[in-house]
Amino acid sequence: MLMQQLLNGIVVGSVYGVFALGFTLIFGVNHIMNMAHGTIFMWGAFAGLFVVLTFDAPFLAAVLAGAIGGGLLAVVLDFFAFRPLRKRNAPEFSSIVSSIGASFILLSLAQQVTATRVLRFPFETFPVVILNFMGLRIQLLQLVIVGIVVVMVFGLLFYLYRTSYGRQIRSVAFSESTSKLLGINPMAVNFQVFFISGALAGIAGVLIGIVFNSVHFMMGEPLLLRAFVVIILGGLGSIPGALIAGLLIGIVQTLSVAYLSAGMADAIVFSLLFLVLLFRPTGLLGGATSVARVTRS
Amino acid sequence: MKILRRMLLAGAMSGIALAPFMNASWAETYRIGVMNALTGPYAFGGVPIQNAMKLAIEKANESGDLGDVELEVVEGDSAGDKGQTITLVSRFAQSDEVLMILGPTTSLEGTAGAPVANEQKVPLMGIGSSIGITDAGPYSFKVQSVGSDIMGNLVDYVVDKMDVEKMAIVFDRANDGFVGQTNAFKEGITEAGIEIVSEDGILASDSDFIALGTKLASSDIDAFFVAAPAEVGANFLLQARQAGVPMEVTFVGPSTFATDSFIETAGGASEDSIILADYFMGSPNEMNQAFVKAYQDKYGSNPDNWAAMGYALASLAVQAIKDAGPDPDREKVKDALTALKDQPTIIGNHTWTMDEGRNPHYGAAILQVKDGQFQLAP
Repeated sequence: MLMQQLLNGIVVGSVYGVFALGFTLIFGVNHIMNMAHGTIFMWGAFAGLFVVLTFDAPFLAAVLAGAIGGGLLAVVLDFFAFRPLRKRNAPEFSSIVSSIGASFILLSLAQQVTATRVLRFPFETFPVVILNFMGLRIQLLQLVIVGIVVVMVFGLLFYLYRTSYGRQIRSVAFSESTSKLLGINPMAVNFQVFFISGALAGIAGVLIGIVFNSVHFMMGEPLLLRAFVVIILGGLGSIPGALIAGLLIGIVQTLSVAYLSAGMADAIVFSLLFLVLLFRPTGLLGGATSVARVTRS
Repeated sequence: MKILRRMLLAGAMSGIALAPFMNASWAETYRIGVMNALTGPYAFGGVPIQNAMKLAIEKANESGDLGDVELEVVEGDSAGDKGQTITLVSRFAQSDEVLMILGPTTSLEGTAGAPVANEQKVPLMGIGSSIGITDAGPYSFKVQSVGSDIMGNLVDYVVDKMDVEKMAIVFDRANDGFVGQTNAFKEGITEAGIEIVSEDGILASDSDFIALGTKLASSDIDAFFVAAPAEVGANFLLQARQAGVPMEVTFVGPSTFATDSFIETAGGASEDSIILADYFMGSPNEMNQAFVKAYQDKYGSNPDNWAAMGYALASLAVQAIKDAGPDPDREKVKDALTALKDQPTIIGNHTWTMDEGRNPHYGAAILQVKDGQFQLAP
């Protein structure tokens, strides 16, 4: 059972990692703790579900719709909730409050639209194919999820560290005023950052919605809480840290359920948060340069 | 002659003018607060319960059984939420026109709303199985048996009819009703010598059951018991089957799963599941057949366990209002509810009664999912 549960943990943890990547990216570049990230994740899942139910779209189209839906929503969120605060050089705390307000609005909207019902992707969205390999029972969907996550992470790293757009993002993260002097348009950079962050959340929403057979308006809240643990464990602003910590949390949670009790899993995950804050507040891969680590090679 | 004609005319005019007031005195309207979880994780049960309660009140008004009393429904959505329930109970209680409250849907809401109803002295009759509802005071009642009573039927079936030596238990640890049902079931099967291999508490907001499903798949169990909202339990069942729990390992659940949404959500994974039910739609009982027809005619679908519970509850409330006499008030209705004994009903063995502790008893049915439909278990 250990190997099977480790596999389950890696699958769940990789999705946590993707969710946390978007969260940590905005923190690294804009220094915003975006409390509405969970609702963007949820609306991404709804966007994917909408195209599947309305157009009978295939799995990949649902993932794409989740990415576009989440990305656009994050850009709109930035426009209304964060940009006005940036213009006034408001303290970071204002952004947290603003994102909490936006989160409540988006949650209420979803509650109204769905009448609080639990929705589901149709069974045929992704066929249940079970592969048996060395005694492990692997669902094809699990392999596809890990594959999508790997592609996204390497794509994001390539974008940030190997393209001129990525250089611009890192430059704005280092100093917005300096980057302006270099001729970089911070507004365009923020557009990219929020779109990428929202797209990552949206894709995670669709994947979680399909693999857990459940799409509902509160689905982002437990993940947001776990994302806190992930980014603090991984180091605030660290992309590799978010991914590694995501996998670690996924595995710890899964093993807690398997060998202790389902009711203990959250207690153990959040105890980890306390321990990290007490003994290594900068996280596993964090440090004095953690923000730069996200944004500068 | 002219004077006589004028007097007749005046009499006729005054008769026409007074007619509405005279009608009002003939049929006095009383309001009934009908509140259930119409949204949220318990809406799978709350919506059919609300529909059936309204149907029962409509039928009572049409039948004329209540004489001069006419009942008017005032609706509310308790949303599966304690705070919302307390607010609604207070609102109904503070309206003098509301004679009594029907609902809420769950023990979770019922144990929150019952103390308020008792404090404000308004009769409340809820669905939930928790003894906490009746323990709150003399004004709160419930239609459903306590877990230990109704679960005994499921324990007997598992022990006598199924070849089970080892079981796993999964339950919603935040819901008093599910916890009570789980404890009653555990106690029963342990006494019968069945070993409980694992016991895991989940939450209604959970959706990741892959790890728990894998745990069950690698356990040497013959069956597993789940007590959770229908859609959550169905999702758990689906993920457990995908994680490798074979179809020969039987899913066993309480009456929360006696609803079509369980089968719709779990699909083929629900096949052969054994479900305890307060109600069986196929019962030939005359009262039940009339209810099934009326429900189908009004809502275009078959009534499930929850619709039946709602109808049974509202029918008992109507009976109590009738027993309270021609000029009912909250106190008289409370006394009439307390005195209800051996009432004909559509649920269980078709006789609903209360013991001295105001705990209901009515028997139960054991259902099995076969070809995507509920039928009486063999």
